[in-house]
This record gives sequence, C-alpha cells and structure tokens, in this order.
Amino acid sequence: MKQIIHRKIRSNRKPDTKNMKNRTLVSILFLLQLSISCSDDLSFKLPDVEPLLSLQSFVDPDKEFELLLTVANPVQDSTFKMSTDCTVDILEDENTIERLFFDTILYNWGVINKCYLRFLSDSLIEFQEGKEYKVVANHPGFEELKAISVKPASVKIIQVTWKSFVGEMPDWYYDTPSKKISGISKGIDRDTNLIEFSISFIDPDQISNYYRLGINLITKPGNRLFDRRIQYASQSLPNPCYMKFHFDTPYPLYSGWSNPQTYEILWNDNEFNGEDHTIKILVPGSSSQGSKYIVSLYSLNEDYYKYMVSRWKYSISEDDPFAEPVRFFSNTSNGCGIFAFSSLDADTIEF
Amino acid sequence: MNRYLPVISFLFFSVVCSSQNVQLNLFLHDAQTQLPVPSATVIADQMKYRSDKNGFLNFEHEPGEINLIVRSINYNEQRYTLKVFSDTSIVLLYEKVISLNEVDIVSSRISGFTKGKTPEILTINPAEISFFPGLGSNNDLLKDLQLLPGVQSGGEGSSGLIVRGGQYDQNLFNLNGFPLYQPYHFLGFISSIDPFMIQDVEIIKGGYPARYGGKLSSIVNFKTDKHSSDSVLSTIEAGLTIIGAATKFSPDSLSTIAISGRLGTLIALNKTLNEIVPFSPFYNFYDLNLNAFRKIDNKNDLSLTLYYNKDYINNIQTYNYEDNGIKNKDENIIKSGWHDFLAGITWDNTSIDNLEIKTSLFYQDFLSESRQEFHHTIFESPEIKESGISMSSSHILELGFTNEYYFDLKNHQLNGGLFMYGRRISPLAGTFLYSIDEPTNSSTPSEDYINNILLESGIFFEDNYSLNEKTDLRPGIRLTLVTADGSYYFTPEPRLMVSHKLSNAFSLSGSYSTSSQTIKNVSSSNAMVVKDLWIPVTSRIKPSKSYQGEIGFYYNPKTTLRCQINLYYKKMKELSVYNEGASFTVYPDWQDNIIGAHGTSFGVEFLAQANFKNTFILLAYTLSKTTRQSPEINNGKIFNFKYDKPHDLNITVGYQLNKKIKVSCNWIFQSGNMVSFYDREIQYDYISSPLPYLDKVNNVRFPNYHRLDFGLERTKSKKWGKKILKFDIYNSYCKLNPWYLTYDNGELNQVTLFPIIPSISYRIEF
Repeated sequence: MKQIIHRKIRSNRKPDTKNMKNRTLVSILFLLQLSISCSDDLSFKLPDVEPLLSLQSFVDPDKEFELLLTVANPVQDSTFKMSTDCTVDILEDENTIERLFFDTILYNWGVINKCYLRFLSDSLIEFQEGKEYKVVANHPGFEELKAISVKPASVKIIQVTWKSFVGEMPDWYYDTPSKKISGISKGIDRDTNLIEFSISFIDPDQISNYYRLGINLITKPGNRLFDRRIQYASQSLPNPCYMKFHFDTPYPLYSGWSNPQTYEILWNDNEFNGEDHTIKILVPGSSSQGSKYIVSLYSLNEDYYKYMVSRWKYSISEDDPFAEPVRFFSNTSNGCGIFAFSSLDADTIEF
Repeated sequence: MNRYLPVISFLFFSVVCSSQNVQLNLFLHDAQTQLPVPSATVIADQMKYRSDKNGFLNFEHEPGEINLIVRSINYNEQRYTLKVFSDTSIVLLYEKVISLNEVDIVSSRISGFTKGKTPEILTINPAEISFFPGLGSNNDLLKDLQLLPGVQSGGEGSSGLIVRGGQYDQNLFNLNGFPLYQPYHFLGFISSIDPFMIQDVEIIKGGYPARYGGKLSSIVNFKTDKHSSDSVLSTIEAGLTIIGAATKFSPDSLSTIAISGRLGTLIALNKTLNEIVPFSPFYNFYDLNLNAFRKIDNKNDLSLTLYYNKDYINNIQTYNYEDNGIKNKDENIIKSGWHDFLAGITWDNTSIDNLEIKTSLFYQDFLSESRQEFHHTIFESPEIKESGISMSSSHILELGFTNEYYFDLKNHQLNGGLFMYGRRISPLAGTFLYSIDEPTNSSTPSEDYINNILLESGIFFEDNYSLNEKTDLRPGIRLTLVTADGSYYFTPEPRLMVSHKLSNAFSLSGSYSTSSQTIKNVSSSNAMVVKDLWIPVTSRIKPSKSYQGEIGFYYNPKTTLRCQINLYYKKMKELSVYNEGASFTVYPDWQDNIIGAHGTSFGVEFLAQANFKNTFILLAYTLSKTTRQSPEINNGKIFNFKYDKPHDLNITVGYQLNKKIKVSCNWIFQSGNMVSFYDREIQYDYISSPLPYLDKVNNVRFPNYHRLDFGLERTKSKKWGKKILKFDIYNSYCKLNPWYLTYDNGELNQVTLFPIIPSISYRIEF
C-alpha cells in the first residue's frame, strides 16, 4: 500500500514539475528574445582613404585668372594643411608658358585659408581659342596632378532685342541668393517693370556646345559708377540647370560688399545643334538714366559644363537626406578637381 | 413469327444488355506519398493496360466482378477485386517495396537539393529540409534557396534573392504558374509562402525555358500538391514570430483542397513592447493561401489558387510642449506596409493523345507604400500648422492570360503558347510640404504621370529534343511585344540549352538565354536610406534585357556525393537606376530621377552535397564580380554594384540523431554590400562650407557578413499525428552585421538589426 501511494505521489509530481520547467524555459527564451532582439548602434569606421590633391580653376575671359589648390581630406581626419612648398605650371604644347605665383596675402588672412592655396598669374596670359592647355601641380607628398583643357571658340551674339513691360518674375527668382540678400520677398516685387531680352546666336554645327549667360547692370546715379551682376530669370524653372556664380566687379552696388551670388542658367545645344537659336530672359527694369546692360554669352567647354551640372545636382539635393549621392565631375589625373575654359562674346544695350 | 418474337426479343436484349460494358477509370497512387504511379501495368482479364504520367488509365469491362493485377518496378505486385456495375472512377493505393533496413535509410536520408528534369533546374522538397535553422524557427523556403551558390540575400535577414548579380525584382516567383511580386513578410525577412502548401520548389538561374519570361535573373516555381488522399492532413503551428494553421483534404477521390492561414505574433507583443519601449512601432503581418484542384473527367482538370499577404507598420509619436508660453505639438507618424492579392485559375486539357493544353487566367493587386508624416502645430490664434509628408508608393493591378501546349513526340517534346498581360502601374514618391494645409513646394505630383498602362503579349516555342541517348537539346524562342505610354517595344528572346552525358556519373551542359523585363524595381545606393519603387517601361524608359551564357559540369554518381561547378557570364542592358542627386523633393515626376545603366556579372559557382545515412552536408561557394555602368553616373566609369559580393560561402550540416531528433547548423559568409558615402571633404574658399567629395559611386564596402545558425527539431509521433518542437538560434555568436548607416552629430553609426536570436516553435500535424 505504501509503495503504491509512494508511486502515485511520484507520478503525480512529475507532470507538474515538467510543465513548470517547460513554462520557465519558454518564458526565459521569450524574455531573452525581447531583451536582445533589437537594433543596436555601433560606430562605423569608414575605410581609410588617402587625401587627394585637388585643383579648381575656371578660366573666364572677364575674370582674373586664379587657380585654387587644395586637398580632398578624409572626413575622419581633416587636419591636413597645405604646404606652401609647391608649384603650379601652365603648359601650352607641352611647353611651360608660366609658373603661377602663390598668393601669400590671402594665405595669411586666417586659419581656414591655410586649407587651400591660391595661385595667380602675373603675366596676363592670353589663352587662345582652340588651343589645348595643361596645368601641372606639384605638392609635397602627392603625385603630380595634371589637368588638360581646351579653350572653346566663342559664339557670336547675332542680335539682342528687348522689350519692356509690367509683369511678374517667376517664383524661383525670389529664392535666388541675390533676392534673399536684398530682402525682397514674394508678393512685394510683383507687377514690376521688367525687360525681356532675346539673345540670338548661331550654334556651330556638328560639335557639342555649352553656354552660360551673364548680365551686368551698369548705372551711374550721380557720378558714381555701379557695375553689378544681376539676377535674371527665364519664364519658368530653368531646364536644364543653373548654377550659383560669384562674380566680382570692381564696382559692386553696396560699398564694402562683394556682389551676391547669382543663379546663371546653363544650356547645351542638344535641341538646337547647328541652328539659329534665341534665349529669352527677364531682368528687372532700371529707371536710372544712362543705365546699360551688358549681356555676356559664355561658350563653355564640355568639362566646364559637366562639372557645373554635377555641382548643381548636389546643390539642389544637399538638404534631402534621401537623395542619391553625387560625384563631382573631374578632369584631372592623380587627384580630383576641374580645370576648364570658357570664351565670351558680349553685347551692350544702352537705355 | 409471332411465337418466336418473345424469344428473339429476349435474345436481342440479352445481347444488348450484355454488350453494355461499364467504363472504369483508375487512378494509381503511391500509398505513402500519394504521388501518381506512372507506367504501371494493369492486367484485367488477360487484357493489359498501362498507366500514364498521372497514374491514370481507363478501359471498358463487363459489369460485375473485375480482377485486377497491378505491377510496377519497385512496387509489390498487388491484386484487387472490384465489383462494378456502372461507370466508376477509383483511386488505388499502391504499396511500395519496403524492408526494415530500407525504411531506416529512406527516413534518414535527406535529399536536400535535387536536380530537376534538366540540369539547369534545382529542386527542394520543403518537408525534407524543414528542420534547417530559420529566423524565428520558421521554415522559410526563400532562405533555403539562399543556401545555393549564385543565390544571395541582399541584406540582413532578407528573404529577397540576389541571383547572379541581379536585383530583388529580377526574380520571377511563380505560385502554380502565377507570378507574385513580393512573396515576403516583415520587411522582407520572412517569406509569405507557407511551406505546408508547397510540394516542391524549383529554381532556374540560367538556361531558362522559353515558356518563362519577364524577369532577368531567375525563375522560382512554387508548386502545390494536387493529389487526392483519403486522409486529412492538418497542422497547427505556434512560434515566436508566426502562428498558423493549415489543412489539406480531399472531399472525394477527384478533388483536393488545401487552406493555410498565418499571422504574425507581434500583434500580441505590441502592447507590451509599447510599455517597455515607448513609441515602438506597431507592426504585424498575415498571409492566406487556398489551393483547390478538381479532376472534371479523365481529360480535364481545373485548379484554383488564391493568395493574400499583408504587412503593415504604424507608429505615432506625439510631443506636447510650451515655447515662450505658447503650446506646441509635434507629431511623427509612420505608416508603411504592403499587400499582394492573387487569384488564378488553370484548366488542363488532354483531349488529344500526346497533347496537353493548359489555359490560365489570373488577377493580381499589389501595393507597397511607405509614408512618413511630420506635423508641427502652434496653438495660437490663428492656429499655425506646418506639415511634411515623405512617401513612396508602388501600386500594380494586373490581369493575365496564358495558353500553353505540350506535345509529346518520339524524340521531341514540343512546347508552345501565347501570353497576354494587362497592367496598371502607379509609382509615386516625393516630399510634400504644407503650411496651414496649403502645399508650399512644387513636389505635388501630377495625376498624369502616376497611372501607367502597360500591355505585354507574345508567343513562345521550344523543343526538348533528344539527339541520342546521351545528348539533349532545347532550342527555343520567345517573342514579346510591349505597348506603354504610346511606345512599342518588340523583343525576341532566343534560348538554347544543350546537355551531354559524358558517363554515368559525369555530365556537361551549356546554355545561352536572353530575357527582357518591363516592370522594374529601382533601389537607392544611399547608405542611409531604403527607398524602392516599382516602375514600368515608358516612352523614356526601355525594357531591361539580359544575355547570359553558362557552362556546367555535374558529378552525380548516384551515391552519396553530388557536385557541380557552373561558370556564367551575364550582360544586362537598359537597367533603371537612380540618377546622381536624384531627389523626389526636386523632381516629383519619378521618370526625371531614373536613368539607364548597363551591368555585367560573371562568376563561378561550386555546389557539393553529400547524403549519408544520417547526415546531410551542403557546401556552396560563389566567386563573382558584378558591376554597373551609366554615362550619367560616376562620370561614365564602371562602378561596383550595390550587391557586388565577391565571396559567398554557405556550409549546412544536418544530422539525424535518432528517430525523434534532428539537428542542423548553417554558417554563412558573404562579402559586405557596397554603398555610396562621401568619404572626403574639399575646402575651396573661406565662404562656403567644405564640399563633400565622392571619389566613386559605391565606394564603401560594409564589413563582411557572417553568422552561424543552429537548429534542433524534436518529433514525437502519436497515434493521432505528430508533435514537432523546433528550437533555433539565429546568429549564435552574435555578429553585429550592419543593416544601414546613420550620420548624427558628425558620427557615423551602423544599425544592426539581428543580434543573437533564440527562438522556439511548436507544431502539431494530424
């Protein structure tokens, strides 16, 4: 009897213990999964990359020649400082035509200026259309940086016509830097005096051409001359693209200020190759007597255009974290950057 | 005459009655597997008959008692006695030849991946590999396919397939011949096809038969079991991620119905999670499958497939605060998810000898949407509210019709047919800004470029030709015509497959195939975002094309070891990728963000599989290179593809400890994904901030991905069925593999999704 009772008790205990164990095990596993099955942040180290020597030089006929030499630093180590013990040469037909001089004044202005070196020309090189030029930069610790570019032929403005009317600038005009600086916002500058310029030219046949337009407004209220780069607009958001340009004139509108940046439209000739073409733009009308507009039609070489397009893609998407990354166009070897030419034809319209 | 009339009438009617034979339809099925037994000999009263490939035969006989003798290789001779007085259809269950020893071998030998009818096809039986370790202890068919060489997962835990340098969207998933767009759950971590419903899965990575088209990288066929059975098979499963139930039964000998439903268990955890981790997202999913099969008569079958999967994730975070005494409220809302509904019907007809005609009609509704909203309200008079909505959405409605012909000649198996698909595809993405409910940016898309109608039709033809005993050829052609957005695209797709037996153990195969794709999924290369969009071809976007050549060497001596080596080279054209700087904020028309690209992928794949008495070993290794090139990206230079993974190694071992317990482990090693990240900065002047610099697209490779999974399955057989307990450990040594990157306050961090995850599931089959 005792044995039977004992056996019965034992057999009754086993299922309870077993169930308890199973439940405990499942609970532990469940809590374990809850506690550790979650995302975790770890610092991510980018692969080590070497700094790249970089140059930037846009050779425009209406600007002083300059070449900026700097370094594309790894983001994880941006402490690299440029050495002044470097040289930059301009070559034509493999012959050195000038060794550029280093702008020490700018270099000594401040800490941040030591991140790049500015080189200038003191011999007023006259670059010739159709010729190929090479720039060679040597900086300690880097391979020789080279870039080759051809100065394009200028395209002549056949005609500039204009008409004035009262109207509205397109919306995007008020988002441009020059308007933001002037503090003029949408709704205030409406129904204003406008001038529509039509700039006609003949696009050369069988070659790809790229253009940019610049407008200067020269006024002389009293005896004071003002020459400022002004913001123009097309009737709608420019397509293809436009680019921010910083253009200095000796006579900015505001004394002690430099000219604000403007958005200048870039065109390629895919839709009018070899044909007569007219570009129409709007500018604010000037009531100042004796004012005149200088319309500058720039012919860019292909590298210039491609670089500007890549800079534009970045500038319009840099605030969008979901945008695709952009790789800036480069025509250098052993580094990165841009060395590009433009040619110019200008016309003056006086009122 | 009148005297003899009754006698004559009696004799006449006797003759007539006695000549009214009955029609007997026999279906011969294996008693264990329920599979048909083809080419069996049935003897009835000295007359011999032979069963066809479906195990079917029929003949006429006098009514009354019929004695049948059934003979087939590997089967016992079996005798049946039937009493038949009218036309009858009968299913005969046929016992296989068995012995005790053989039972042991059969029950413990795991086939793993088997070669299909032709060398380019690899097949798995889900039931055989259900004990392999899985995320959340789920048997995931798509993850099982990732064990093969040349088939990779695109990201952490993803069930998506990257096959030979392709992309997720380039795989044709067929459920009983009907295409599916997204057979995944849980952000792509679990497949939505219930293994219970599937008899076998086959994958074709190259040398595609001409009857398949529309995708560039692979064909994955999920086939359900249509055979009737006397018994009802059911299963109930509960795990940490999924609970579900399924049943399969035959209402009569000519019909089969299978139903399955699964639900994510996260729904039960969401409330708990919210209390532990405030504002954690509410996420759940479910899927439903129904397959029905009916044999109308001995020449006509009808089958119905219904499939529905849905995922949804919601999260609302609200912050109330005061700013200078004024009440403010910030709301962050996340709403994402997808659904895929498919209804398809197939009619099989074999009225003419040696000719099978298959006609299918289907409808599909697929929607994938990701939406993030931010609302900022200032409670002053008047109330000011500013909102931003960022979303991407792809909606596809599809109606399809196919008509296929299979004709068996002596040395030729001819296959031809036509197909027609009508689709409405609506991609939408952008960031929409509102102030006091008025739009403030120009990102609002126009309805005109949202809905795109695409019509795709064509014909195909191929011939499976046996040149001799050792050599088979399969030339084929597929012609596709697509109309979209007022444009027409005609694509001929020649295909050729040759296989040759060098000996009993060695064989060689070679193939060339071209393919085109008219609906594509575009994915971002941004390291910090997951942004996919399904897009159609238009007047600006052309169909993608692939051209693939492959050579394979196979060693299959019908012993325990199988090996194969495959070399492939694939060129892809007119792929659609996001342009540099693509932003839906700037270009609300998605076409303005997409450009064309070309791709190249080549590699060598090695697969070795060993089946011992209780052990199964699979070794798969791929060495490959995949690149892309586009004139408008990376300055026109070739760059690494996002999923370029030079090394991919899988080692899987399964071991049957005893009749009840099976253990398995799986070690995966892959090269990391490629992403684009600005890794340098340039300071050009003292005015501007440093410019970020990207030396080349996809310049950063994530660290190598590797993990080790363990699985243990314990089966207890009962009189009423089986109890199966499965215990898995995913990522046993807790390797923190990166999922994506975040950049915050100058620091770059990787987000890991799955550290070590133990899980358990319980299943009963009855």
